[in-house]
Amino acid sequence: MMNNYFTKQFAGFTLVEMAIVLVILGFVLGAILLPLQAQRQQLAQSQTENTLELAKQALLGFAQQQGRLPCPATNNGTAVFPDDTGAANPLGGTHNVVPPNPAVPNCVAQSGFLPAATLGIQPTDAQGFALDAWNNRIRYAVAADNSSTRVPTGATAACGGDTAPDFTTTGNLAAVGLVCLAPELRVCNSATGITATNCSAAVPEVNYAINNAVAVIYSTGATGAQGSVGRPDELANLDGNTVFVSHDISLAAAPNEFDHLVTWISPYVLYNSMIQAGQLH
Amino acid sequence: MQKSITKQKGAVVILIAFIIGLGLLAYLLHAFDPARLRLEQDKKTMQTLNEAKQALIAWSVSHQYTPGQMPWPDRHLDPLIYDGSSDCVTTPFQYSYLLGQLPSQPDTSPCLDPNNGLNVYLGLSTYPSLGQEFRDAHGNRLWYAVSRNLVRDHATSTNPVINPNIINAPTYQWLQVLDRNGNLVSDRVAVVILAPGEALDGQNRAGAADASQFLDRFQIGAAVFNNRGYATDDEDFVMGDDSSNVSANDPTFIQPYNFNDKLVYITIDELIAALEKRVGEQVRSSLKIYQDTNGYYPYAAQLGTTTNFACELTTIAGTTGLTSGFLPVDNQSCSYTRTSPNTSLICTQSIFDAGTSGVASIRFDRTSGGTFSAINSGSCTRNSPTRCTCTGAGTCGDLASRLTCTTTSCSSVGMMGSYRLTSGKFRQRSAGCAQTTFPTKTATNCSNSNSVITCNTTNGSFSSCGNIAFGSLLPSWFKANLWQTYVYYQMTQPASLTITVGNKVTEATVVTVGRPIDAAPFALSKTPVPAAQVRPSCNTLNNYLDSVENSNGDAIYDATSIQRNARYNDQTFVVTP
Repeated sequence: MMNNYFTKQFAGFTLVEMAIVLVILGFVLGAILLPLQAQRQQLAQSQTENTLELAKQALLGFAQQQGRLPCPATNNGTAVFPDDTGAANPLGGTHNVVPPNPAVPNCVAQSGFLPAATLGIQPTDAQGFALDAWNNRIRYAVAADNSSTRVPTGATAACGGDTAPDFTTTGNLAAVGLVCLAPELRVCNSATGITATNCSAAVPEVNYAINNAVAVIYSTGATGAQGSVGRPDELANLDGNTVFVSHDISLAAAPNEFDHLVTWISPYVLYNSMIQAGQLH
Repeated sequence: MQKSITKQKGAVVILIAFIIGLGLLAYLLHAFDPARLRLEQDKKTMQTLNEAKQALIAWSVSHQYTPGQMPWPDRHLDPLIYDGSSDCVTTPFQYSYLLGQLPSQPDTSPCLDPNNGLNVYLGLSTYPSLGQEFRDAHGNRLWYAVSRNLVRDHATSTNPVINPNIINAPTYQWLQVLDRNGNLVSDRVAVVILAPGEALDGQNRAGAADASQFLDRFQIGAAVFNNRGYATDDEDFVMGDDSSNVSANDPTFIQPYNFNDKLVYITIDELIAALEKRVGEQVRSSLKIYQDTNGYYPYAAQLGTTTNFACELTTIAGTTGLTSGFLPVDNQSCSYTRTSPNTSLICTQSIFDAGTSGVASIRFDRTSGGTFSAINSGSCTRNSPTRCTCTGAGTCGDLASRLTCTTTSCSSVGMMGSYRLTSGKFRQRSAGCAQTTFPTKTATNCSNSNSVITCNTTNGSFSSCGNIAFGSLLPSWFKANLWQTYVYYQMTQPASLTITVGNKVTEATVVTVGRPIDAAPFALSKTPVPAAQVRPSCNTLNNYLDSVENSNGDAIYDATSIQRNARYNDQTFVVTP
């Protein structure tokens, strides 16, 4: 009787019951994990967008104070300051050169990383590079145009000024003047048809979100730079030239997958910020 | 009984799992809640609208040639439809031309290319546009309506004059923005930027679809509110509620209610405030260049003058002048040369210009050489064989012996003689030119009494204020928009006066004075409370400067960081150091 009692009391579930429970739990776990994953992604994306916006404002503030934009940070492996520190490289921006120095002074890299240490942006990694929500370094490219030899339309004389880049050399924006400034960075709607300098070979240019950006700030998204192999839209942001791509996140299979988050600074927003701060007229 | 209990335990687990499943389902529904997704889209759209607003203000303020002007919209009736270009027109004006998509490309043919002053023959102007395409969360390009006060009239080749006067006294009324109930939000709107949202109520946006396929309307009683049309200068645009927020039974609106436009707008006040900053910085930079070049600042022009913005000297020798007032943008200098048998007078600006020189006529008396034959043309009159008087461009005499005047020069051929200019406002002369009437200032207005310049012996010159023109250091848009009447200037020369702006000591300061404050009391509590500002005003700083500190004449000014408000629109600038 006793033995019979325990047998009945702790008999457990029937196989059918267990199967039903496991199936339901399977659904439950799947339902939990999928939206959680999606929400985490959404949260990370939102957080990164905020960081990018913060970086944009910090860059404008820097320009208002310094009269120029900072050079990108670099990790060329030299470990000679300011390389590998999250600071702009060179820290003091570009400058006019006196022979026999290099004839074309420029940032160490026109397309590199956001100089978080220079701008005071958080969060950063141990080296001081700004991070997105996926712990990848936020990237940054700045216009390197120099207008000293350009003759503006309708003018007879060249713009003049020195040979240093207009946007990263202190005082050059004001010295060159609004009519001569011509930032060259492009953000295109897709990599299809882009060239090394334009969003299209066609004139007037098409396929662009902006064709005269002074700075492009972007995150390589959840998949990072490693995830860009075979994806032309993402690779366009990593090839080191002045043409970038931005569009909505696309989860389609390669080659169309795209999860970079790209923002940029319009030249007019930069100019007006500097006018309002007394750096430009 | 025991068997029954065992079975119930299994059922409880299933029940718990089922409840958890239901909870998760609710969570999922919440995560993908259409309202939440729509909010995300609205957030993105509003962010884009604000970015477009900032970029448009910035583009306009930093314009090289015409700060304050706005581009024409990209319209559907343009042959290339919505190609992104700014579709200016040279045909007779219609208000509907001022509503279209926000252009990312420059002006089209055949409108003016400001870079070279020529009309675009083919393609696009070389002057850059925004260069940026703004799209809402549904992928639509933003729409854009602009006030007629802020676009160039390509049909008559005239630019609007854009300065603080345009706020209260515009040529055309400003646009209006209404709220969801049709109540006025602002009637000082310069630009409206709209996001069309997704297509509603059968809208078809393919090809050359017009505004009604993008923008929406709703009706309250008999009143129709819509963003689709632009028929009058004070056209209204409406910030209506999204359809999703209006129930099908809402009695406020005539049903069906289909509206999802989002809009932001730029008031003329915020545009002018941003422009004043550029104006102040421009003046500051030009004064600094002048000082760097000459070692001193220019004397000021008489405050309140409306016709002659030359600097004012208080002695004939030009050793003392006004140290505060308007900017001396109208300096005029003339050189006088006698080269036998000819005589010439060449001026830097128009001679017969009441606004600059004040010269009404110029008289030439022949002293040697031939005589005038009885021929005259244009604005010149042969008074006698030895005398010719001109009030503008023209000629006396024949090819052998004649006097010819253009707007900026006069020259005799075949005869030598003397020039006599009356009603002028020149202040300095040298060598062959004599000044015979001493300038004195009248008490009741800004005009100086007239002087007479006579040049008759050897080569010489005369000028309204020294030979160094300050006006040439300013860009042409400054005078074209009459900004000189909105800038107050004070400098230390001789360096006996100390000017203080906030806590900073400076050699010179500039204050952009904004529009007249239209009613008392002033912002920074003046006692007694003054009347509204009246301009022009020659002697009363109160009519230009808005605070006690700025207008009491003690050379101490508010700091550059003072916040503007409806009763205070001064902006101070430190020139140097």
